[in-house]
Amino acid sequence: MQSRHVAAASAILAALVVSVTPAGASLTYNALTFNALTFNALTFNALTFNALTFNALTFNALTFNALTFNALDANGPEINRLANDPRGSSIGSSELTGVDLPR
Amino acid sequence: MGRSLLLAFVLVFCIGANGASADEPRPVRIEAVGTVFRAALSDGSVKEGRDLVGMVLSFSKNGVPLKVRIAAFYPDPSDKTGSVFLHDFRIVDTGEPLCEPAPDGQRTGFPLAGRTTADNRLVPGGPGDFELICAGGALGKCVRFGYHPWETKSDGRSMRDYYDACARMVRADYCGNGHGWTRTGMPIDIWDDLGIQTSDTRNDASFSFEAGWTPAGAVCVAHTRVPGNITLERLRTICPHLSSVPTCDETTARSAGALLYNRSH
Repeated sequence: MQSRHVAAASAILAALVVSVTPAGASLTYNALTFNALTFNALTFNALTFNALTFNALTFNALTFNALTFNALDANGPEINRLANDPRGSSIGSSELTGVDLPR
Repeated sequence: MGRSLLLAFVLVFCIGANGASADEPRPVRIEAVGTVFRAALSDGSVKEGRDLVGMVLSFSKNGVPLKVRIAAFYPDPSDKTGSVFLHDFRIVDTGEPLCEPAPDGQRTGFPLAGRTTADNRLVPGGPGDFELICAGGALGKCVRFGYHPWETKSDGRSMRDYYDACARMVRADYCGNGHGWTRTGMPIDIWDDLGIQTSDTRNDASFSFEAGWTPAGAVCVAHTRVPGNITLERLRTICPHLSSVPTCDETTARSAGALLYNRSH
């Protein structure tokens, strides 16, 4: 079924080409049409690409900002006053000497 | 066990001996529950979370006294689980925040139950053991990523394993010995099989698979994050077990037991 459609379309195309080619200017017309179509296609592709790229970049940027506060790693000290602590942390209950509750 | 009991006794004694007058309830025990402080008082009441804003914790670090006040307490705006709370810890003497800024600008932290070993694993510790964790450090980030060490998965596995694996990953502690090979500010993309974190860079060719991670470090490494700090060849001489998986990708890392995965530039 599909091959029959293709064959029919080919026959129509051949008829069109035969009918317009002797007219001379029709080649130009065809070329212009082709160029216009090509241009449109390229334009469409470029715009589509740009739009997709934009969206992708925007998405990535937003994702990056939203999630990646997160994905930025750190090798630095957990607590600035304890920069030389090899654990990267920390002060905790083992150093706790007292607690004053809020009044 | 003996050391834990002694610490607990000293802690209770010190807390009881400090501060309040005779007619005011005294704190007899303080602990971290999730990312929140909870104080049990001598009159049997309990205060926690927001009720403890204004509390001052006195520490002695290597003989140097340090007083830290909880100036503010609020839910982590980036946390979807509602279980992470940020504390504005201030140094009493200066009024300065205790913590350096996180990448989102937060200069906050929270307590976490347990204690960190010398090679950077979180262990349960004794009763009342906790550490102050800054949101901008590797440990704080891993909690904010969603790896909550106080939780247990439905299959019974402790999330502490994921938390420890995350800390290895954030620091690029490939060998699992506490030595990180990263540099602050390196972007990484992390994900896991639980869906807590998902990859954001599947279509970004500038990122490539770096490693798979367990609490003991990397199971394999495809490339090092900062080659200027260490090359893959050098790393494999330091940690020979990393050569046991010749081709390192998500599939082979998973087969080798990885819990987390990451990509980097």
